[in-house]
Amino acid sequence: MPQPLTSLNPPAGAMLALHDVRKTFNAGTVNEVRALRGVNLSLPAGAFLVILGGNGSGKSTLLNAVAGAFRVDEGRIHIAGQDVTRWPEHARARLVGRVFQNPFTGTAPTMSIAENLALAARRGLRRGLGWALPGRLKAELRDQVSQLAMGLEDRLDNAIGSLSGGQRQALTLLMANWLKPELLLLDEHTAALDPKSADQVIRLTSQLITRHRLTTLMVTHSMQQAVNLGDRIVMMHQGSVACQFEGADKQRLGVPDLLARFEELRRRDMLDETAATLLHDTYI
Amino acid sequence: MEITRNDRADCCEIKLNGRLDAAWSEHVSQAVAGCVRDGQHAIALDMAEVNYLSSAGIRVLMLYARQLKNIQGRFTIVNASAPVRKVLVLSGLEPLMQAAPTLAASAAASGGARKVALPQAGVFAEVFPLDPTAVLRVQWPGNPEAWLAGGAMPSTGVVTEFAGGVMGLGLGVLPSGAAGEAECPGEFLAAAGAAVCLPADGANQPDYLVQQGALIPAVKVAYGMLGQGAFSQLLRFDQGPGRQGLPLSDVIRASLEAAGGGAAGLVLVAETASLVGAALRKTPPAPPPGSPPPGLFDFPGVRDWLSFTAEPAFANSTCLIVGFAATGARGPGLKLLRPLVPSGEIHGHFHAAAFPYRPLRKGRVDLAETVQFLFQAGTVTGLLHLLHDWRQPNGAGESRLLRGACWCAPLEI
Repeated sequence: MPQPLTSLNPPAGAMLALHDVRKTFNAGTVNEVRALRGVNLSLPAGAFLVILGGNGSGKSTLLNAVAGAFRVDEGRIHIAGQDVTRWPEHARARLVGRVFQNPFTGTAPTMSIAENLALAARRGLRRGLGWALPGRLKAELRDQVSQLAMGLEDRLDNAIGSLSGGQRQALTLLMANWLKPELLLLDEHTAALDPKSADQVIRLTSQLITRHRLTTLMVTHSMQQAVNLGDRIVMMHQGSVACQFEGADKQRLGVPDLLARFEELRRRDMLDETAATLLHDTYI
Repeated sequence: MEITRNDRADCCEIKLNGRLDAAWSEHVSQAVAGCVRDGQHAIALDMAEVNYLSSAGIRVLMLYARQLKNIQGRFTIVNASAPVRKVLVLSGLEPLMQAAPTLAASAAASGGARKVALPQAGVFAEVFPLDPTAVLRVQWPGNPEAWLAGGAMPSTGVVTEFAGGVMGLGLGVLPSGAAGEAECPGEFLAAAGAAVCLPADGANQPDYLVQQGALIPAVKVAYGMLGQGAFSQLLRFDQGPGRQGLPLSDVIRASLEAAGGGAAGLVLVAETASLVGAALRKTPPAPPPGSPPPGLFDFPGVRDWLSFTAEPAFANSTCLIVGFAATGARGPGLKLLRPLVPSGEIHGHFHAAAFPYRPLRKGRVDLAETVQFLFQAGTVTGLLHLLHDWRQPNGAGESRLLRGACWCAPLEI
């Protein structure tokens, strides 16, 4: 089983380390939501972690906390050995590549494919008054886009908004990986795609992660994807890590096993004070 | 294709109209499965209006012919159309074309059985005498207090062999024999040379041992209750049409009456409508040395180590239930027995192992054969300590059984 972090220093070799991360939204109001309740996680370089969980379990909040979409209330976050807990989102962008659920997020629809990719190539870097698309970069763009095998290398001047969701998500994936980020975050990035496009994007995701040995956090609702992909699964429940599977446990895992775990979590929630009294009186 | 079901007194007739091919074979299969699930073991497939039969359809016919033969039921094809008749003759399945089956065979198997009422459900169980002098000698290996004080396997744990003549339940592990390996006792049950255990290691995966050759299942028992001997009576119960199921307490009451004692040991194999109960999820934490036992059932800590089916579970299963029961007069005095109904009229302790659904043969059946038949599925889907959730107004109630067999004998204490 993975060892929880016990100090404020990340474990040696950890590409991502979270120590006792907590976040409450609308604290002190009737709408208070304790979204993260002390999450500890350590991910070595090259690891591919899949995060599963029901609606409101905190999995997307966890991803957003790592990306820097908000500041956490407590705890520390280290990426590539650097304490990024207080870094704003744009500062973390040079370490983190990200693909969102909505294919229309993360790209500029009126700009061309080439222009969007050129922006991705400068993500997190200083930008000056030079040509956005020098000839050398154009050749590289064509080469990289051709690897998607979608015929988009001949449409580099087309507006990205004219592409299908699947094509756009594939390009977003390429953009997120352009600078070989220390950490790739995938936030249900196939949820809005039709089954065929989703399969295509998942295949591409797997290829890119394997080829570049990317350290990856993927949030998904698909138990089949969780079983097929990655080398570790974390199941979130009510803002905490409920259980983890890796190594041989992950390999033998099937969708029915995951369904059984979800059912177990549901049963846990249904065990209330009256049930505890009943068990006290009748169990032993 | 049109599929029409007609339940008659002596058999279930399914009338098909259209093509029985790959597109429809699964639907026909589901229709036949539904009849079997409703307890109909005599099925007639009327194929007068079937104009085409492919190999996908033949597969379904063979599947249910075999399944119903295994449980001594009957599956026949009546009024076969000319195209169907031709395919059946060419494929060697002509023997399936017979007159509509009847329940004569199973009625004959019931000969000599007396009846005992299940008053709450308003039905009668058939009671087959086995060995009128048989009793079960009771033992209580291990010590629940030692487990409660220590959490894991206490030093008082006892390795117990469960050969064919021993039934039992409690908390235990299937011992590996490896030195230093952590032992997490969880619910177990054993009967007829089979033992099932759900280790409390968080994996939630029951494991089992079945007697084979010289291999006799053994369980290291943290605490439990055993009965050694033979059974005196066999009850066959069936709720008839419907899916609501008979309350477990009703079957237990009838078994106590049939066994003729104030206390009895019971082994049931039954098709389930639902099971309600709890199981150890993890080994509860051990208190620091010298400290009193922790409040294990305190909320919310109890959630960490105990799993409870707050709503009916294992609806479409066949289960093996092992337990002990006594009337209100004797029950409170017997270790490990707790009230099974709010009135305290009967006390008991029952564990159930759930298996994928398999229909059970009707009439007089053999315990060892029936238990072996369950394990042929190769999977035990769950193990529960059965409880009656009598909380008002939203309790899950008690476990309910569609039909099954119950072997019972009075206890010798």
